[in-house]
Amino acid sequence: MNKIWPYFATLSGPGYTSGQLMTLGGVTKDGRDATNAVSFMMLQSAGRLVLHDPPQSLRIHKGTPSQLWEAAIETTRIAGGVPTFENDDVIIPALVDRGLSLESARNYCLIGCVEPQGCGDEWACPGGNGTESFFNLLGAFLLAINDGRNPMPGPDGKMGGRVGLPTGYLYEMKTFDEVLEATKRQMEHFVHWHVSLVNTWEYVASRHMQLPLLSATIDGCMESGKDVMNGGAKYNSTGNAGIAIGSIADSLAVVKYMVYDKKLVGARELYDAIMTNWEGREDLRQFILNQAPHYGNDDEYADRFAGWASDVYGNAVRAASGPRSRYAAGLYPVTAHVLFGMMTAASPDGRRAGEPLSDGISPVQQMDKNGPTATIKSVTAIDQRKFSNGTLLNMRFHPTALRNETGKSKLIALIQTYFAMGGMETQFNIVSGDVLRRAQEKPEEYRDLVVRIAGFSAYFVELYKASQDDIIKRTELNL
Amino acid sequence: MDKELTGKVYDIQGFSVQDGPGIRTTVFMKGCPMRCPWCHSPESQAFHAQLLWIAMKCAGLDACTKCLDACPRGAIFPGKTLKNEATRETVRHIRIDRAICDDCGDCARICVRNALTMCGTDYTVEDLLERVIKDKPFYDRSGGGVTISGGEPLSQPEFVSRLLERLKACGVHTAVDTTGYAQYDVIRNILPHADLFLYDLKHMDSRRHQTATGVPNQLILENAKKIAQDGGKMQIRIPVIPDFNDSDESVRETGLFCRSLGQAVTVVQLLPYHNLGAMKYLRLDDGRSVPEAEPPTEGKISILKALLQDLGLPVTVH
Repeated sequence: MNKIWPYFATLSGPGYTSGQLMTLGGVTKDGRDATNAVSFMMLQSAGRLVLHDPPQSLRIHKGTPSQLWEAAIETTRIAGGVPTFENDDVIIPALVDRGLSLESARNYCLIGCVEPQGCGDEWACPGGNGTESFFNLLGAFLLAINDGRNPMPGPDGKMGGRVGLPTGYLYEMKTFDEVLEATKRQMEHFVHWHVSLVNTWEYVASRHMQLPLLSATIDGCMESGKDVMNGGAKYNSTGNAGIAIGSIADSLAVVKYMVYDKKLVGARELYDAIMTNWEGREDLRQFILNQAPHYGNDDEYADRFAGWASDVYGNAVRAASGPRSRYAAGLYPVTAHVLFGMMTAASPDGRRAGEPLSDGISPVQQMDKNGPTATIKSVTAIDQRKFSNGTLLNMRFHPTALRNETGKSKLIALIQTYFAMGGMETQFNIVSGDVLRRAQEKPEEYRDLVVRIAGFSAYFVELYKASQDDIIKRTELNL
Repeated sequence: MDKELTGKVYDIQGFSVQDGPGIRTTVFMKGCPMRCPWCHSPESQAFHAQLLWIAMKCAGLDACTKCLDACPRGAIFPGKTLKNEATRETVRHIRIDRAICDDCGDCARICVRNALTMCGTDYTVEDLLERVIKDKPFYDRSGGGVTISGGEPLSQPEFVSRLLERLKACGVHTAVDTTGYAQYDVIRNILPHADLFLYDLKHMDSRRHQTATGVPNQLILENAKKIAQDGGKMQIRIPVIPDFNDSDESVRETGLFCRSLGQAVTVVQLLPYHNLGAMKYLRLDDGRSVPEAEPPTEGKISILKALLQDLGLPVTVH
């Protein structure tokens, strides 16, 4: 089951996982509910064994029976993060848009972590053989306001030359529209660059890395007499995943708010502050973190830039094609947002150089302050149906939220509302006693950890040690 | 139309799952006529906006002295040197002389870290409505709605009544979380717009009630009866406070009263005392001591729950 990973793949996708997903639930090829006894057995086994691998994805549609919902929430409560919830009502039309027949789209499965593909008849190649093709959206923005130069020095400590388009500097841009225009050009430029690299890899792989055994199992290869790597499958696509949608949305919102709308800081001053990694500008950074608009709070001011940036990126990716197929866009990071963050300079949203980028389509860490309903409303600013390569929304709950039937039914209603508004995927991390103890040890890393207990909600790290200990006890009692 | 009418709100919490059916937004109105020593939201009690200081967000005087300069009354002084719980750095803190501070908020306006904030914001009915209506898709899907809590919402009767009326007009389920300590006219007025009351009963003995909370209980009990007569629905909430109302007799007496209210009571909820609100007393730092009591054990709560169930009451524990 396991395989040897390239070094950078171990950084971008750490942890032990086979990546062999099990897909449950959903609908049959003719659109009827596909739930059966095995769906329940698999969910219950993962719960009984507290098993995270192989990971499980549960396909949800309008007719998913309530018993299956309940079984899935019960497994989530015990195992945390298992299963992921996938929305048929968004994914199936997205796959049809990608070229699959309705029958094949209804029969989709998940591969990797959240990437939908036709089951047994599509070679979706979501970016390669474990070395996914990830796109740093925030990186493109930083180059857009720095004349195409990466503001982060290389490993040798030296600044590199221009690698992007000469779009000018932030302080030369008279209007915010110029900032958007520069960002759009830079993003499209790097999507083309990405596509030519991936296409080169695809070309080489089609010559030297055929997969005959696998090809024998995929519809179309026998009929066409071609390997999957040569486009033999019935359906083909190539995935590309954008990272840091939250970070780029916040950076655009902050530049608009601070420089162009409220004129609280000059463009040159803000530019200098991020180029020097906020050195001596902690007050400005704190103002931005605490007082400027941020994506994830159901505030249109910032949320629209998540919609805008995902449109620019997604449209460019979907317009691209390779030796086998068209491209499909996704918005999921595995953990590449941490790795890419290490290589990304400071950004206007208050992020320091080297800090992680935002995760999946989630808001920037600690910036969503109005709870899960506001987060969900914000996230739906992204038209997820256009991201047939998958999206990922992580949410974190305290186990007391799932303590009784009422709590469980409220969480189910939360996911159902998200899915009715166009959400594609979500998964829940359940806070454990170990997480809370780590938060006591390293409070600076857990400032956004909210515990909701008995109608009382608070940031965990702001509580007394005694109260924290009490919460740890309650947390473990509920598991 | 209600341009002048404003209400003072100290918090708005989305995804409230403990304050009535379904997914709700809870609006916390500022100001309360009671002074319960176990209150986990001491900032809810005063009717005026108050300055809060959150130590762990403060950069300390070596990094920033803006609040000292901004205070028009000179109420902020250098304070103790303490370790910041979040950053583990030793920080020279500020001290606010609450006798001089008049909660004008000048310091909070310039505090970029939100270490100093004003608790209590004035909303018009329409602004608040716009804010809470945003989550309507979640209310509709889950059978939820909006809960007006506090403080004591009935202490801002005109505003709360208008807000409830507007919410109902928008098709939103409404609940009012109340101590019941208000003139019945106020309650009668909102009854058509309140789908549910979350109604606190703290003690059946009026003298003990007054000693603890500052007010007697007759009005509260009378109001509960009248709500029942006039067709209102109530979830009765009993905060279980050690050495105050946690005896079997006390809970049984309260249970018998609930039973006398008949069909009006949809459920009785036990709210075991917890001390998670302790740090809020420090933020307010108004001379009151932090409540310190051991929360009731699970065993104790299940005994009380069984006792109420034996009276034929539906019971839940929060």
